[in-house]
Amino acid sequence: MAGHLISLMIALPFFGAILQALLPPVGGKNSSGSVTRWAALLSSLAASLCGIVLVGSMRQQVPDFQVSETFAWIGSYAISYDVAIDGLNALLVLLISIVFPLLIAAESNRKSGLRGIQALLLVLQASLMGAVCAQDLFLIFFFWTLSSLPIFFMIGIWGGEGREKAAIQTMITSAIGNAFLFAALILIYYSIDPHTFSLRELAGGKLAGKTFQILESEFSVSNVAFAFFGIGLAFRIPIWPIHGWFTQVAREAPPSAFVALGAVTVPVGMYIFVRTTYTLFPETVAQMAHTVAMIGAVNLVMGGICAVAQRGLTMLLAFVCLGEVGALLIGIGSLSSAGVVGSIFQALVLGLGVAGFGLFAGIISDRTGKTVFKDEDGKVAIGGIASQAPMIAVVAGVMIASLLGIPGFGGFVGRSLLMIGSFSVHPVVVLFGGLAFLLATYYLFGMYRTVFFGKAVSEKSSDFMDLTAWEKAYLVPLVVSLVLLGLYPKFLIELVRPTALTLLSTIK
Amino acid sequence: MVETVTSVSQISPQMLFLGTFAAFLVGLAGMFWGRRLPREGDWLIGLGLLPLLLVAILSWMDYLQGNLQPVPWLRGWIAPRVEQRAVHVGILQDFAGLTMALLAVVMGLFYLINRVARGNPRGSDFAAAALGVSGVALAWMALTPWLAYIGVGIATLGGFGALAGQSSDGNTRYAKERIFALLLTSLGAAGLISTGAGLIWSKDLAQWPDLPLVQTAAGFLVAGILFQLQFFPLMGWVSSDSDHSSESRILFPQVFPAWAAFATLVRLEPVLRNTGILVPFGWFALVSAILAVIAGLVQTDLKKNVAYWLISVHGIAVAGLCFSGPLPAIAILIGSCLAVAGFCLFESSAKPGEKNFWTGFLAFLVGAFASGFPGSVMCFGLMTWLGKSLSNSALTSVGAICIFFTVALIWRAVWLFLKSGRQVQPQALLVMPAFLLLILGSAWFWAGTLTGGALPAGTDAMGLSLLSRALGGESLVMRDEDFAAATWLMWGSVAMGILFAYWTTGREQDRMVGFSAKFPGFNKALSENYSFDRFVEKLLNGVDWVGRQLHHWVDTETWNKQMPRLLTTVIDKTGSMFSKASEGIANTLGSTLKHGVETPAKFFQIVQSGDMQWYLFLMIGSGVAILVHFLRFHS
Repeated sequence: MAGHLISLMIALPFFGAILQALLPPVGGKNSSGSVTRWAALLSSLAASLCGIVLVGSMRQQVPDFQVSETFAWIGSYAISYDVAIDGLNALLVLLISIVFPLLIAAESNRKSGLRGIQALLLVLQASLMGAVCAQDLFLIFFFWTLSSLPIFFMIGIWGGEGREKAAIQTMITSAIGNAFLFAALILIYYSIDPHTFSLRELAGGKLAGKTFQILESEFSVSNVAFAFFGIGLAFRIPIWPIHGWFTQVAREAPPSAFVALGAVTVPVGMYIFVRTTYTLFPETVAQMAHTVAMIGAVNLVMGGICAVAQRGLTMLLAFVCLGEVGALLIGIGSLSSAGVVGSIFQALVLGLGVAGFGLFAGIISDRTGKTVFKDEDGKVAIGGIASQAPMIAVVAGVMIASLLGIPGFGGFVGRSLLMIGSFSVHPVVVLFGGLAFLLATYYLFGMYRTVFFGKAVSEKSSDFMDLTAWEKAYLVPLVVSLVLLGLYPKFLIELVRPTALTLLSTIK
Repeated sequence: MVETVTSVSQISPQMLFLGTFAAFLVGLAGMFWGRRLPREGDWLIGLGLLPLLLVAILSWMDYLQGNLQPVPWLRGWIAPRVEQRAVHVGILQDFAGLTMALLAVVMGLFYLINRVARGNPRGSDFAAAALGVSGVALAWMALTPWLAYIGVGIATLGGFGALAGQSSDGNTRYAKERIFALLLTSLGAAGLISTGAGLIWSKDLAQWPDLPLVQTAAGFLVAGILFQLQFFPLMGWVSSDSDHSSESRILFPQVFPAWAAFATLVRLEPVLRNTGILVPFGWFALVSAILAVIAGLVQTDLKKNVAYWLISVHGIAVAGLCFSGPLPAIAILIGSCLAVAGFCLFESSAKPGEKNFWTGFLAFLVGAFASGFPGSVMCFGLMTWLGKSLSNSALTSVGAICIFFTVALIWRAVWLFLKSGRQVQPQALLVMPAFLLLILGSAWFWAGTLTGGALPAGTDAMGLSLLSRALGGESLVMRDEDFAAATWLMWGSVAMGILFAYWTTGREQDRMVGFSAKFPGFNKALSENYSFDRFVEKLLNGVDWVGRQLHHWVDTETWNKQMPRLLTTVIDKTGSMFSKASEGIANTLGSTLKHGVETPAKFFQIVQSGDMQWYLFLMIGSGVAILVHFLRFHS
C-alpha cells in the first residue's frame, strides 16, 4: 500500500494538471476561477499529504529503502519504473510537499492564465517528485528532463519584458545539461553486462575498473561518467561561472517560477548528484572530493560578493541561492556523515527559506510594482514597510534569520552540520566559506533595513497593506517549519544519517 | 538517554529550564502584543519572571546549605548524544549558573518596579527586560555553548526590541554587529566539535586535542565572544545617536547580552587556557579597553559615556580572565553590571527640579562602586587581578593605565549627570531599586570581605565568599610587599582618575568639549570608530564594485550577450556553411547526372537519323567482313 502511495504522490499532480486543461470555465463572473483554483490546490495538497504521510511513517535509524514500488517499464532495455524513499530523499519529498501547494496558493489571485500556470506547477511538482523518488537512472533522467519544460513555459508566457530570451536561454542550458546526463547514462548502461539502468544493481562499485576506448585511448567509465553527471547537473543548478541563465530567470520569471527553480529544482539537482555519484562512483568521489569542495567555496564566495552589489530582491535572492549551493557542495565534498547530512538538511532549509523570501518578494512586487529596493545611484526605492506591514517584516525577518544561520532557526542546524563535517577535512575551504557567511550579514541586513525600516519613499510604500489572511495561510507554514527545524531537527536528521553513513561506508 | 538527577529540594534542571522558558515566552509575547495589553504588559512580564525567581531561589538555598553537587541534564540536539560529533544542549544546575540567573531576575524585577513607578510604560522595554533576564539565565545555566548562544541571541533580541523606534541605522547596525559576532562564535564552536574537542563543560574540559586546528577554532570562538562584548572594532554602534532612555540604550542592548556572552568564556576558561590563546586575547582586550575609554572621554552625551565605559570595563574583565582566572573577571563583571543598572534606573527617572540628597548620593554611589572603592565587589576584582599580575610589569603598567582611564570616564559621566541639573525624584519606588542594585555590588556579599581586598587578607573577612563558592578557588592571599604594590597601583590609579575627571569635567568648563573643538579631525575619527568604519565602508564599496564587475562581465556581457551572440553566430555560420556545401554537392550531383544522361541520349538521337543508320550498317558490315577474311586466311 505504501508503495502505491509513492506512485499516487507522483501521479496526482499529473492528473490535476490534466484536469486543469479539461475543466470548462464555470459560469458566473465571480466563480469562474474558483473551481480551477481549488482543483489545482487540492491536487497538490493531496499529493503533498501522501508525501508527508510517507515521510512521517518512516522509521529512524534504518538505512535502507523503507517504501518502494517496482515494475518493468521497457523490459527489453532493462528500464524499470522503480521508485523508493529512504533517508536520503525523504527530506526532498518533504520539501516538495510543503513548497508546491504554497506556490499554487500564491498564484491563485492571478487574473489571466491561471489554469495554465497552475497546470505547469502541478507538472513540475510531479516531475520533481518523480526525479527524487526514482531509483532507475533512465527514470531519473526522464523526470528530470521533464521538469525543464514547465519552467520554460512559465518564463516564456508570464515573465517580464525579456521573457522570451530568458526562456530560450534556460531551455538551451537545460538541453546541454541533459545531453551530458544522457551521455553518462548510455556510457553506464553499455559498460555493464547485463545492461541495466537500476541504481540498486549498479551500486557497490560495479563500475570500478570498467574502461572504454576512443581512438585507441582508454578512459575510465567512472571518471568520465562522474564528470558528465557533474557537468550535466551544473547546467541546471547555478554553478559559477555558468550561472548566467539563473540570474536571467531571476530577473524575468514570475515569482512562483523562480521559487520553484531556486527553492526546489536546485535542491533536487544537488540530491541527484549525491545519490548518483555516491552510489555509482565511490572511488571517483573519494578522489574528487576536494575539487567538489573547492567549487563549492568558489560558488559561496562569488555568490556573496555578487550579492553585495545587488539592488533588487530577486537578484539578491538568486545570488544567495548561488552561494548556498556552494555551501551544499562543501558539505558533499567533506565525505563525512555530518557534512553529507548537513547538505541534505540544508537543502531542505534552503528550499524553505528561498521559497519564503521569493514569495514575500513577490508580494512586495505586487504591492509596489517593483523589486528594486535601491536605485543605481543608491537612492532608496522601497522603504519603511515595517511600520505599515509588521507581519511581512516578521516573516521576512524569520527567512533572513534562517538564511543567516542564526541559532533557533533551521539554517543554523544545517550550517553547523556543514561546518562540523568539513572543518577538520577542508579547514581553508571552510574559513573562506565562513567569510562568505559573515559577508551575508552585511547584504541581507542592508536589504532588510532599506526595505523595512526608515521612511516610506513612495506613495505605495506608505500605503502598504499587510498580509491578507490568504497570504498568511501560505507563508506561516514556512515560518513554522523553519522554527521547528531549528528547535527539533533530530527527527529528520535521524532519518538521513543512517543512509548517509551507509553510502559513505562504500566510499571509505 | 537523558541524564537526570533530582535534587534534594526537588528543583531539577528541567524546572530551571521551564522557568527560563516561561520568561522567554512572556518576553516574546510582550514584544509582539505588549502595546495592546493593559499597561503595556508590565504585569505579564512580572508574572513571567516569578517562576524563574522561585526555582532559582529554592535551588540556590540548597546550594548555600551545601546539599547538592552540580547536576547536568544533557540532550542530543543535532544528532544523538552518543554520536562523536553531536551537538548537545543541556542545563547545568550549579551554583554559578543559579547565582547569575538569580541576579538577572532580581535586576529585571527591580527595573520593573522602578519603571512602573515612573508611570510611562513602554511595552518593548518590559519585553526587553524579560528577554534579557531569560537570555542571561539560559546562557549561564547552559551545559554547552549552543544553548548559551541561544541565550545570547535572546538577550540581543531584547536589546534590539528596546532600540525600536531609534533610527534604522542605529538598531540595524546593532543587530548586524551582534549577529556577526554570534556567527563567528558558532563557526568556532563548530570547528572545535569537528576536531573532536568536546564542549560539554561538566566533563570535557581536560580533553581537547593538541592541534593547530583546535587553536584556530578556539580563536574564532573567543573572537566572536569578544565582539559580542562590543570590543574594538565592533563598537561603532555605540557612537550612533539616540534619544532613548538609558535602559533602552545601555541596559538591554549592552549589559544583558554581554553578561550572557561572558558565560561561555568563563565556562571554557580551563581548556582555552591550555590552547594558549588567552594571553594574546587578554592583550587585545586591554587595547580595546583603552581605545573604548579614549573614544568615551570625548563624548558629551552621558549615555555614550557610560556605554563606552562599559565596553572598557568588559575589556578589563576579559583581561582579568585571561591573565588571572575567572574570579576577578566575574567580580568586575558583576560590579559593572550592577553599577550600570543602578545608574540607568535613577538616571532615567531624573527630571529637572529642586536639588535633593538622593541625586548626589546615588551618583556618588555609582562612581564609587564603579571605580572600585573599598567595599565594592569591583575593588575585589581589580585588586585580585592586579595582585596576580604583579609578576608581569608590562601587564601591571597597562592594567593601571586602564584603571585610571575607566575611573576617569565613569566619574566624567557622574559629573555630567550632576551638571545636567536633573534630579532623582525622592520617591521610594524610584530610589530604592537603584539603591539596592548598587548595594548589591558590595564586597561583603560577593567576596566575603568588608573592603573587598583594600585591607590585607584575613583582616576584614566576613565569612562566605559567594564568588569562590560559585567558581571554586580561594581568594588571593598576597605577600605584604605585593599587597603594598597592588594597593599603590590601585588607589593611585583611582585617585588620578577621579582628579582627571574633576579637572576635565567637574569644574565649570568641560575641557573635553574644548579638546574636541581644538582637534576636530581626531574627534571625527573617534566618532567613526577610529576610522575603522570608514575603512570598512571602503572595503565594502570595493567588494560592491567587484561584485558589480563580476555580475556585469560574467552574467550580462558573457552569458547574456556574448555567449548567445557567439552561439547564434556559430550555429548560423555552420548552418550556412553546411547549407552551401549541401547546395554545392546537390548541384554537382545534378550536373554529373545530367551529363551522364545527356551524352548517351545525344548519341542515340544521332543514331536515329537515316544516313547514320546506313553508315553504321556499312561500317559494321565491313568490319565483320574483314574479320571473317582474316579468320579464314589464318586457319
